[in-house]
Amino acid sequence: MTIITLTLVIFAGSYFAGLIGSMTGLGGGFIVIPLLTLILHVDIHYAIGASLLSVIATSSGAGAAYVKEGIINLRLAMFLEIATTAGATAGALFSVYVPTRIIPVLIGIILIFSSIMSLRKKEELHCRDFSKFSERLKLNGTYEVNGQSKDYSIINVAGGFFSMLFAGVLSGLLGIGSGALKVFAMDTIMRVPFKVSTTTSNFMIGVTAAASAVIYFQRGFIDPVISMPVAVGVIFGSLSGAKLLHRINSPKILRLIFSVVVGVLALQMIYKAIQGGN
Amino acid sequence: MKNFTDKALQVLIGRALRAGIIISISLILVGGITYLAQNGEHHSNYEYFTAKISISSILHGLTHFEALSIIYLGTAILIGTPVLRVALSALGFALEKDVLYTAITLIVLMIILFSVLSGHPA
Repeated sequence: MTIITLTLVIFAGSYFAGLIGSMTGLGGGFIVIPLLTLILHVDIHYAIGASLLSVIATSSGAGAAYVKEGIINLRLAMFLEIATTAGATAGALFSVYVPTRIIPVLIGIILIFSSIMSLRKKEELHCRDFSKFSERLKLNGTYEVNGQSKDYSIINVAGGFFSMLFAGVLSGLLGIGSGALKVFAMDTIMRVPFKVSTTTSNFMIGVTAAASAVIYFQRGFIDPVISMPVAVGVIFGSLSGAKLLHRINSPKILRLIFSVVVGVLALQMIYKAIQGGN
Repeated sequence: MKNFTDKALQVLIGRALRAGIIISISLILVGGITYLAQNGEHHSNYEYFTAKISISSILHGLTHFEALSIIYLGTAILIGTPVLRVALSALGFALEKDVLYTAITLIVLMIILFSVLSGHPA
C-alpha cells in the first residue's frame, strides 16, 4: 500500500469515527485502534499513539462546544483528574513491562464493555443524599433542565476516586480514553446526573490522554504520518456530527449499529491476539 | 468573582481550545500535504514498530520547514490543548480565591509535568 492510500483510508475511517463518536457520545477513539490494527495491519504501538491523539482531538473539539453550556462540573473533574492523570502516567510507564500480546486482548475487553455501556438506558437519577466529603470538597452542583435549575449532590467520593485511578491506569496502558468507564463510575458509584457526567467525562478523557500522550510521544508511538489523517479526520468528523445532531432526533439506531460494529471488531482483536497470528 | 469559573472563564477556555485546535490542525494539514506531495507514492511500512524519534532532530527540522517536523509540532500542540485547559482552570480558581481547588489543579499540572519529564525512552 502506498502512503497516500494509507492516509486516505485512515482519514475516511477517522472521519467516520469522529462523526459517529460525537453523535453517540462515545468519543472518536473507539474505532481507530481496530481500524489500524485489524484492517491496515499497523503495529499496535502506532495504533495506541494514534488513538490517544484521537481521544484528545474529540475531547478538546467537543469541549469547545460544551463548556459554553456550563454543565461541566469543573471541581469534580479536577479532583478526579488527580486520580486519572496519576493512573495514566503509571500505566504508560508500566506499559513497557506488559507483554505486547496481552494489550489487544485488554483493549478488546474495554471496547466490548464500552459498547454495552453505550446501549444502556439512560435514566436521569437525582441524588439529594448528604455526603460530608462531597460537601467539604464543594463537589455538589446544579444543572439546568428546560430552563430550570436543579441541585444535585454526589456520594461515595472515595469510591469514585479509586475507580478513576483504575480508569487512568487502563487509559495510560492501552491508549484509550476509557470514557465509558469514567461515565460508569460517575453514574453508578458517585450518582452524578447523566448530563453532567457525560460532559465532565469528556473533559477528563482529554486531560487523562494528554498525561500519557506526553510519554508515548517521546517514545515515538505518535507517528506523524499516521497521526495526520487521524487528527484531521476525527476533528472534521466530530464537527459534522455536532451539526447533524441537530437534525437527527434519535441516534438510537445509530448507536446500536455502532456498538455492534465495535463489539465485533473487539472480538476479532481478542481472537487474533489469542491465536497469536499477527 | 464568586462564579468566575462557571461563566467568564469557561468562555475563555472555549476560545483557547478552539484556537489550539485550529492552529494544530492547520500545522498538521500543511505538514501532511507537503509530506504527501513529496512521499505519497512511497510504500508504507508500519507493520513493525521502530521507535525513531528525537526531539532535537524535530526542532532542527522545524528550522528547515521539514514536513514531518511540522506535523510533530501540530500534534504536540494538540496534546497541549487539554493541559492548557487545566492551566486556565487553575487561573480561574486562583481568581476566585478558592485555595483548595487552586491547589488541586496545580497537583494535576504537576503530575502532567512529571509525566513529561519521565517520558524519555526507557
